[in-house]
Amino acid sequence: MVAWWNSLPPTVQVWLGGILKASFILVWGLLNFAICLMLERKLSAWIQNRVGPWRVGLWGWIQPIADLIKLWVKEYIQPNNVDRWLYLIAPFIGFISANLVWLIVPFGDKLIATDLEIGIIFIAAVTGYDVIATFMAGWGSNNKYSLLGAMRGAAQMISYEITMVMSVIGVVMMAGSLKLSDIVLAQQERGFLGWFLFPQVIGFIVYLIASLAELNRAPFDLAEAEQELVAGHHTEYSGMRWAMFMLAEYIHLAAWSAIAATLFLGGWSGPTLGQVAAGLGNVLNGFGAFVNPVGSAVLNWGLAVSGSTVLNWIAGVFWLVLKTYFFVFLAMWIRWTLPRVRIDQLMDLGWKFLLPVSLFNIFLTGTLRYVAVAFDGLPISIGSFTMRLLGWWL
Amino acid sequence: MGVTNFVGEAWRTGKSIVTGMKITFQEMMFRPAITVFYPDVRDEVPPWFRGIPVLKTDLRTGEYKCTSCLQCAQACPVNVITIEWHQDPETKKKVNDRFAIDMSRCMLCNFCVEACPFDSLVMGYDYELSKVDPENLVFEFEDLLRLGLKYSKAEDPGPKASRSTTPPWVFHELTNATEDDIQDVHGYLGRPPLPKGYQPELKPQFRKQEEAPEAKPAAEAATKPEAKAEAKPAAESEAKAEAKPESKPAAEPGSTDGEGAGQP
Repeated sequence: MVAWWNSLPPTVQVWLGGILKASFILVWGLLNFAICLMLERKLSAWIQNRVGPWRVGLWGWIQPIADLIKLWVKEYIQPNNVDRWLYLIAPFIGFISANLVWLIVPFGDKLIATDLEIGIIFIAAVTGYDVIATFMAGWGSNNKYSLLGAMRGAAQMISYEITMVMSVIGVVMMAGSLKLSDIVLAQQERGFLGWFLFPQVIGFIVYLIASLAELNRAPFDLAEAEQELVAGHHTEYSGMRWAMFMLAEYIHLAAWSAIAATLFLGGWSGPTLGQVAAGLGNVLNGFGAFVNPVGSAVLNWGLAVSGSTVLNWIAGVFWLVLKTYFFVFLAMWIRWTLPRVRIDQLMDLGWKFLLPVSLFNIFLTGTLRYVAVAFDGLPISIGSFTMRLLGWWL
Repeated sequence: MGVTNFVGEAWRTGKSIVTGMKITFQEMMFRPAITVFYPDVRDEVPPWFRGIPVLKTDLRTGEYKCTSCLQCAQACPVNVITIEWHQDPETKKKVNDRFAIDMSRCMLCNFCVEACPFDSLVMGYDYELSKVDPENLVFEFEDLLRLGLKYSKAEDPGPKASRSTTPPWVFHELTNATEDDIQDVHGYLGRPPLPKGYQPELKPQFRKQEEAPEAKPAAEAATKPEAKAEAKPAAESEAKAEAKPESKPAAEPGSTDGEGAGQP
């Protein structure tokens, strides 16, 4: 198989591989959509003491397929006086931008569709398409509700994009790379307790809030505020075009969750015995700042146990999906708990709180890293625990 | 948001968010769903439930309690109650010819029940009233009596029987009707549901003039044998006695008929 693949000319390899990867990403995205949709309906039902969809399949679990079939065969209504091209292609641009994020998510060691050097910048760039899709839909629909929703959505997404990128910069500083696979490998070397969640907890919280706003999810779903604007930017859509917005929303949610898991929770490296041992050894060693024999022994044993094999690929996918759906669950839990904020509160939160906090996080990370690097290599025989903690930022 | 408040605000926000999410988590995990799987499982309706207004029967005598006083038709805010009656010349009492409630427009407001001076109407518990053909939503006298049988009871006919101070909507609870009570001992109540395409038998005043003579005596003989028996001795000859019921339908439409209060 490998020999046959290597025998192919490079052009064929690129095109065939690209088609295979794209098909996989598309199917994976649709699968995630079905699971997320069902999860959302079930979770909202359980929170509200209902049972949710029940009739289609066992406990209603194949309801999304029935929904998609219904939307597929549904009448497609196009209002008069729409800006035709904008109106027609907006849902698909949103759908594509949601799927593109999945391209750079590492499912395992080298198990990644496109290992871009500028992964995080790519995420920010692709999210820009989502803003464009929202605004195209709102402008093209020739409807005041759509336009209002699109205005809000565009303002909100552009504001929170800055905050989101700023909150990730701390992680980039610690990993020293924008490449997502490098970030995961850096976390794997650091071990369980060294995952960027712990030293970058401020960045993590800011990232969570900002990505909720970025995804237009409650409590920041101002773009499609049902009580004020009928459905926001997709008021005038029906049938499969409306479903494209829904697909984009849930695929985006799952993709963002996967990115969050990659950046902060160690990606495909799970809290296995080896990872926990490596993390413990790193803490004892002060993450290299205060190396001692016990810590080194634990660390080496842990790293030896968590080797990279084919079995680890399956485990890696498992852990990544688990972490992804933890974040999906968190987003849904937040959605069905918190009320929607006003537009001015949203802007206040974004510009006056989250952006300063993320900037402070960058400053803090840089300072601590500087101090830790300065201490690194100093012959301090009695490394206090606080000093060892400083190594967390190393 | 001042600088001094910066951390405090954030702390309070986070605390309230965590509190709220704890509550929803408890609801999600530890509270069972309260959903009733309706077509499979039917929840019991509360005692104050207002379904279709139905007519009660006195199970002791088997007579309906409605006196065609038109109070309910007057009280009805949406004019869905149609009552037609004629006066029985023998007893000088009103005889109900038609009592119809158009359930397609009834708003179940309970006003007719409150207006009824003889405790004849009651808001039933039946709520699955949808029909394929909306014309079938007009519930006629027989339908209402049949639905009202389970709220009827054998009452002691006292002077206070019709002047009860108890609000009419409590009668659901007070009904002592047993299985024995709800039996059609008199033979004219509780017929089975109408078959498809059923044409109800026209009341005498709606029949054509040539049909009336042969149909009327049969109906009179069936429903009022004692009235006829009383009339016979009073009348000298047989021919006069036979002519008397025949003359009634001719006289009625002009005089007492057509009290269709609240025509839709």
